[in-house]
Amino acid sequence: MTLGLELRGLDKSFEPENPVLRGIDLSIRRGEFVSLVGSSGCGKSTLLRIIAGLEQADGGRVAIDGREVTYLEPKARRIAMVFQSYALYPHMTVAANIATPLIMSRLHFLARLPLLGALAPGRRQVRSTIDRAVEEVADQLEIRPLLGRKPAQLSGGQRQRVALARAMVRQPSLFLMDEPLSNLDAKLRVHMRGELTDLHRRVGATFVYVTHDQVEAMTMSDRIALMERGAILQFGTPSELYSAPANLRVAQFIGTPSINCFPAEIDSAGTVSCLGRPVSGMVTSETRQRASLAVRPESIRLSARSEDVVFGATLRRIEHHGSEYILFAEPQGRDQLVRIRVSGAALEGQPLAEGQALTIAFSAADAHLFGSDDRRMDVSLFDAPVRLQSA
Amino acid sequence: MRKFPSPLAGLTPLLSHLVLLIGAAFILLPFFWMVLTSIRSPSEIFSVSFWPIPREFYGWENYGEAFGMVPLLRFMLNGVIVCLGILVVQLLVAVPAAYALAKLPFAGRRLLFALVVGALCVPMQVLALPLFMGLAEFNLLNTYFAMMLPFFLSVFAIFLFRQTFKSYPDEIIQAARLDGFTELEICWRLVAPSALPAISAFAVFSLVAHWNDLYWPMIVVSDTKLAPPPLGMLFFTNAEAGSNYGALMAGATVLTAPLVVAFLFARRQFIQGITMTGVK
Repeated sequence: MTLGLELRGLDKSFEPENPVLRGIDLSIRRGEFVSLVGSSGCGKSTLLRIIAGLEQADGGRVAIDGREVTYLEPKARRIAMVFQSYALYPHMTVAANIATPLIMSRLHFLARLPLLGALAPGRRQVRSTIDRAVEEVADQLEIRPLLGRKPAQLSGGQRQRVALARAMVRQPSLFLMDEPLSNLDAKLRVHMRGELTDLHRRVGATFVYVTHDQVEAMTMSDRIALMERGAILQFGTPSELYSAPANLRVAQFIGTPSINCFPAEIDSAGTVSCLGRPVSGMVTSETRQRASLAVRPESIRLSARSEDVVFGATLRRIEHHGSEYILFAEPQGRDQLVRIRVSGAALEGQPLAEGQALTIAFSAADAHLFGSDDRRMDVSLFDAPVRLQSA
Repeated sequence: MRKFPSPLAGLTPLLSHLVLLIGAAFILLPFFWMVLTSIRSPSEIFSVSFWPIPREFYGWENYGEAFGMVPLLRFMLNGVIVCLGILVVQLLVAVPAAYALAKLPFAGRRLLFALVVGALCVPMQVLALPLFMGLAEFNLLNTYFAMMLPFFLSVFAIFLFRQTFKSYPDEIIQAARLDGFTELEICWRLVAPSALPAISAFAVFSLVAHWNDLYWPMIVVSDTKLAPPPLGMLFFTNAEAGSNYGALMAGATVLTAPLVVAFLFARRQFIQGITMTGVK
C-alpha cells in the first residue's frame, strides 16, 4: 500500500546554530487524518510549508502518494492548503476565489491574460466546466448564496468555508491545514471541528493538520505527531499519546488539566520511590537515577487503597466544571499544586471546603515513570499486598 | 452638577477654518491673478483691484491670441505624450522591482534596497551633464525619448511601492503559488491592485512633476514642435508675446487646467495614498 505522505530525514535551519527541523521522519497512510501538534516555535508550520513546497528543506525527501516531490514547485504537487488567515483573494468574489485553482491549472498562461485571454480557443468550454465544479463545491459547503460576495463581506466562519471550498475544488489527494480554526470564536471552533471530521470522511483524502491546540488534535485525528524543538517526540493514535506517552513532555502536553508530576528516585535494586515513599509494585531495570512520576488528574483518588501511594494534602482551590470538579491540593511539605479530577457524583454528600485536609492517593498502575532524559521507562508492575507507608 | 458647554467651544472649528482659509487664499492668489489677468484688457492688467469681473471682458481676445500665436494644443499633446510615456515605463519597472524587494528572498536584497534609498538622495541635476552627453552621442537630442529617458527608473516609486507591498499578507501570496500563479501574475494581478491608492498617488506626483518640468526639456529640446507646456510658455514669452500679459496668462491658464481637473478627479485616492502609511 502506498503512503499518502512520506517524509524522510527532513532538516531545516534558518540560522545555522538553531535548526528548526532535525531529521523528521513520518509515514502517513493514504486517507489518514494526522495532526502535527506542538507549542509555537516547535517547527510544525515550517514542516507543513516544506510539505507544500513553499519552503525548501536543507536535506531529506518528501513523497506524496508514492511520488517524489522534494524538488517540485508547490503547484505541481497536487495538494491544497488552508491557511490560518484563510488567504482569500480580497478583490475577487467568492466564486472567483473558488474557481482560481481550476482556472490556473486548466487554462494556459495566455488564456488567463485579461482581454486577450477571451480569444483563446476552447476557453468557454473550460470555463463552464469550472463554473459547474464551483457550484458543486459551494453546494457541499452550503455557501452557494455567498458566491457573489467579496471576502470582506463575510463572517469568519463563512470565510473559513470559502477557504475550504477553494481547497476542495481541485480534488487534491493531500490537504494541508495550518491552524484553520484558530481565528474562530470558541463555539464555532467546536462546530467546525465536527464539520472537518465529516469532510475528511466524505472526501477520503489524506489530511495533515497543524495546530497548537491539543484538544483539536485529540478530537479529530487518526494519529497525532507531537513535535518539540524540531523533532517528533511521539507519533501515535490519540489514545496512545494519552495513556502511554513516550516522553514526559508528551504527557505534559496532552490532557487538560495537565498531568501531575512528582520527583522520584530509583535505587540500585530498581525500586521506585516518590517523595520519600516507595511506590509499591513498581520496579524498573534502569537503576540509580532521578526520575519523574506522572499521574493523570483523574487517576488521583481521595480515598486510599492498600497498595496506593498516599499523601496528606491541603485543599487549596475548587473549580466547578458542571459535571465534574477540578481540585487543587497542596501536598504537605511541598510547594506544588496537585490537580485532581473528580466527578460530581463522587463528591455528593461529601462537601469540600478550601483549606480542608485531604488524603490523596494513586496506584502504581496509573503512574507513568520517566527517566532523567524525559523518556518513558519500562516498568514491571506486580501486586504488592503489603501496605508500605501510610500518610 | 450639569456641565454647560463653554461659550468658546463653538469657536474652535470656526477658528481653524479661518486659518485654513487664509492659507488657501495665499496659495490660490497667484492662480486667481493668472485667470483674472487672462480675461482683462491690456489697459486694466496693471490695476491692483481684486474684483473678479473686469470692466471690459477681454477673454476672447486674450485666449484667441494665445491659441493663434503659439501651438498651445501641440504643447499639451507633447506634455501628454511625455508624461504618459514616463508614467507607463515607471510603473512597468517599479512595480516588479518593488515586489521583488518586498516579497522575494534573494541574495543582495538588502544591499539593493539600500542602493534604492541612497539613490533617493541623488538630485537629478547631478546626472544632467552625463545624460546630455550620452544622448548627444547617440543623436537622440530633440526627441520625445530624450525628454523621458532620465525618468524611466523612479527610485521614489520603487521605495513607495516596496513599503506598500511589504504589508501585503504573505499567506495570500503562498496560496497563489499553490494555486499556480506565476510570480509575475502574483505581482500584477494580486499585489499591485491592492496597492492602487499608492499607485495613483504616485501617478499624480509623477504627472504633475513632469507636466511642470522645465529644466530637463530645456536642456534636451530646442525644437518648438516638441516642447512640453512649460517650455512652450518659455518660447512664447521669449518670442512673440513678451509684453502681452493677457495672452500669456491665457496660455498659462490653458496649460494648468488639465492638472487641476485631474487632481479634482483623483483627489480622494491621492489623499488616501499618501496618508495610508500613517494609518496602518
